[in-house]
Amino acid sequence: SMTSSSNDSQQLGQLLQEPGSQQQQQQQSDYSDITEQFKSAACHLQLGELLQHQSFSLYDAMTAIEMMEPKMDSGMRLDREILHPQRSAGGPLMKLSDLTDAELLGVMDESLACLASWLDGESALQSVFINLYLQCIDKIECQPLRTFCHGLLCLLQRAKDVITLANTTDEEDFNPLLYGFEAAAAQAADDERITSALKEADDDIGRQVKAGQLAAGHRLVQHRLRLLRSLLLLLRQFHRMLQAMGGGGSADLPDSALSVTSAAAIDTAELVSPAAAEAAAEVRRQLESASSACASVAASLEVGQPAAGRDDPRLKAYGVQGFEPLANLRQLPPSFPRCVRVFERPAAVAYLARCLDCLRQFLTDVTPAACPSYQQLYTRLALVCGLSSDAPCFARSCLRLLYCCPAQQQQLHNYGINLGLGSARLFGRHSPVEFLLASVKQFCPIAAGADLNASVRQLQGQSRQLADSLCLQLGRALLHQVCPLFSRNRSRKREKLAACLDALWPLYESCYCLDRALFPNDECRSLFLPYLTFYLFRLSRLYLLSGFSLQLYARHELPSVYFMLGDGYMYFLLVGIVQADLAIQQQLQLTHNPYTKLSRQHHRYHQQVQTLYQHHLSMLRASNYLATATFYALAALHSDGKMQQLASPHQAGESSSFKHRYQPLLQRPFLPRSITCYTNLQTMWDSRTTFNGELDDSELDEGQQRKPASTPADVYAEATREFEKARDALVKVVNTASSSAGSNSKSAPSLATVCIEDWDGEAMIKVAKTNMVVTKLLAAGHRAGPQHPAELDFSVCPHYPVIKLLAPTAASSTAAAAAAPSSNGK
Amino acid sequence: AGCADGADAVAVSIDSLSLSEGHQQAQAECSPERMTALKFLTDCLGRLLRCTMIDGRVLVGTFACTDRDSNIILAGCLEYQSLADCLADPRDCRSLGLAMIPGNKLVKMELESFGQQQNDVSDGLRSDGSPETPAS
Repeated sequence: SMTSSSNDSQQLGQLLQEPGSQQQQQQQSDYSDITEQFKSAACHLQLGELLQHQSFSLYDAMTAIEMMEPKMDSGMRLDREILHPQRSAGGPLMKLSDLTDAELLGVMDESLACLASWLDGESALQSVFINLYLQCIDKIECQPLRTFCHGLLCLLQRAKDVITLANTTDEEDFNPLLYGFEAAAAQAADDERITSALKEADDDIGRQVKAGQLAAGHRLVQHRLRLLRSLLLLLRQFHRMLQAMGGGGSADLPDSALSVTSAAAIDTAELVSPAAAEAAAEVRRQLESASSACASVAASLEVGQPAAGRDDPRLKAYGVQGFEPLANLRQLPPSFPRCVRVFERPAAVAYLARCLDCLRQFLTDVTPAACPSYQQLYTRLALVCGLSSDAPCFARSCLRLLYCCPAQQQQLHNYGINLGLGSARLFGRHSPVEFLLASVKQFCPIAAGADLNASVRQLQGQSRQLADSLCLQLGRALLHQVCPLFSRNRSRKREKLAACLDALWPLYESCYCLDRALFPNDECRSLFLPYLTFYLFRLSRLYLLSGFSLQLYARHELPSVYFMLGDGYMYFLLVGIVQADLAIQQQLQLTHNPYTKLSRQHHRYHQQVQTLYQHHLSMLRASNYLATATFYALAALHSDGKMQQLASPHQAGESSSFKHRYQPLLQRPFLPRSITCYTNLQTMWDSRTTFNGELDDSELDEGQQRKPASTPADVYAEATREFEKARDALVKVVNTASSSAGSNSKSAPSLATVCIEDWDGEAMIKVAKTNMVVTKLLAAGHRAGPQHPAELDFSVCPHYPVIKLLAPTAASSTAAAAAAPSSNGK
Repeated sequence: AGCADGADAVAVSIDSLSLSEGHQQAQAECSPERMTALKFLTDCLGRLLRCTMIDGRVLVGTFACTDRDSNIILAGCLEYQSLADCLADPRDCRSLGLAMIPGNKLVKMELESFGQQQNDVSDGLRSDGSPETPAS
């Protein structure tokens, strides 16, 4: 209230009154105190009335920082002493020696929590560097603390180098700026000295505890020191492994030439050199010790002094020696001061443990031990990359460096300078061309024949040049654009998808030409084209689905989305793959000779491998059906008047917004006729929503021509059929996946490992089944007309809605409501 | 004075103090005390205000907006840790941009009183809300 605050203000005002010096009085006379005048004048304003300057708007008012509000005002002076790295050092709140073990552990645990927060994306100034000991390390007399701080800075620098070199993080994932502490961090970069100092401190404590000089609680300090040391050693070993991978092998081969290794080498090549494999084993050993150190730290977190002041800024002290969240505020740029959320200690240690777990998984999955043949690398890599979108960014960076190790030694040495991984090779030695050929071979082994590499090498002249450039471009695109696609930032992912599509579409024609050059006598046989089309299919689908999670689609755009996902666009891509599939099946039949054991073995192997790719194909086809079915259902709902917001595609400006929305997908180079996708959409929509007029169906692509429907009920029936097809296809897919999960076929990766992104088979089946029932009801004439509105429910599956029939509006007659069957369309 | 609910803020346009006639509210709005008060406040708009908060910090910025509870919005606001710091070294500050100070957190308000009046042509604020540096 006013009165009490004015009392406070009087007292405080007296405290703040400076003793009069001439100069200050001079300056003070420039300002006149208008407090009382102002406040009484302001009382004349009415409640809710604002007095504002001409150039000031209410919009500006919204963006102002509210002072004295802890969430927005990070500089809020609290009722406690703000620690300063130089001035407070040695004082009771920032002791430099004689720290009790609770205090020491408090500092160390809080530092680990801050480190985890920094790895998670907070700025270093507001996380790691709130530990003021880091700014005056040389003054610390307590040896464990001093070595710990050195180790922390070193770890900071090393981790930052790994993450910036890998370059897979987006803005909010990680903040590499150190705001003036770069020098301090760089100085601490001598990790050999630091790891030995850590070991020494560790041993010293052990000795002293045994001798009784130190309390037994100091053993826990040893755990922290060991954790830091093992993390540093891990990073050093990882660096050595990268050097071993990148240094040897075919680093001097120019990229433009196809690899001259023989076919046998491509199939069973060692993925990495023996030196690198040994280094990888060493990394794994180090990982184990780091994980166990993490676990022992996690078990003893309650001993350290807790940071009570973190949650309650009004407390007298932050709670931990030497920590001051407000110390570095001057160095922050004048942006909106964010409230930094430092991890709780158990969560922080869990985060570090998770980083290590992810790293371990990547090392096991993407190394020779897991992939007996080079061909399987493609599936493994795709799987791992897809799963890595949830991984902490540090682990993701390590993964990228792992499979995409820079070939030149200089890149590894220039820590901190990111020279880009554009020329990097798979595991440091394999050119992207080899990778591409191997995965193409795995994709269509029958079409590829026995020795793809040889057939490519046999090409002459222009075809050979075409092959060289195409393979290089495609391989590079796959390795550097498709694999690092997955990260936490979904809008960036959508941009990256668009960039991938932009990179891949121009290669379409070249793929066709190369196929014809490779198989001049066999018109139906194609290899590179279906491979490329397959990727285009997957990426386009991901692009369209990403719009859902980013909530980009307005209600009236939904029909066009399902049009693109379903028959309108994907159909064309599907046709290409299906044709290749048929050719392969034919080949399989022709070459199968059941009388020889070798042939039977080959046949079984090929069947299994084919099943892998078939499985992928059936997943895509099933989602295709579901999308088409949804499109029909939406058209029927619109024409029935149940959902008015689904505007027809004919509105003004709709055509250009369609082009804009689907721009990366509309680049296909040769269309069967000179018809745009949008016209297709128009005709498909019209044929299902206008019922009395003449319809010109002749312009549609083949396969989309249908008999024009005569009533909404017909369209509902069409939708029902499609939902049924979708349901059957989905059930088959899910069953094959689960049944093969039990089988242990060593020669081919199990189907369960084939993942297609953004796929939830169970949810999609539920949607298909429910919608099938609903559209069947509607087709039979129940609940017809606009008085029974319908709604789309995205809670079951975020990409495909469930159609919900709502309660009839008040306009409907009670008789109609009573007559309709009481079954609620779910 | 029987105003509408405080949920919607009604901006008083200072330029047009013409009020609808015959309205009872208009009568209250016309009172001479209110007119002088509003004139005083309007004169302060666009000028440098130095505000001291209850935790001792000093904020210096261009006065942009206020309301009945003396909540103040300052544009181009600079934050000093104390009055002593502000006087000792004017550069030892943090730039906050637009800041809102709740009226009950204010201890003291000081208005710069050098002779240069802000004339109508330049209203003291640039288009992005930061103040033009006053010629000293």
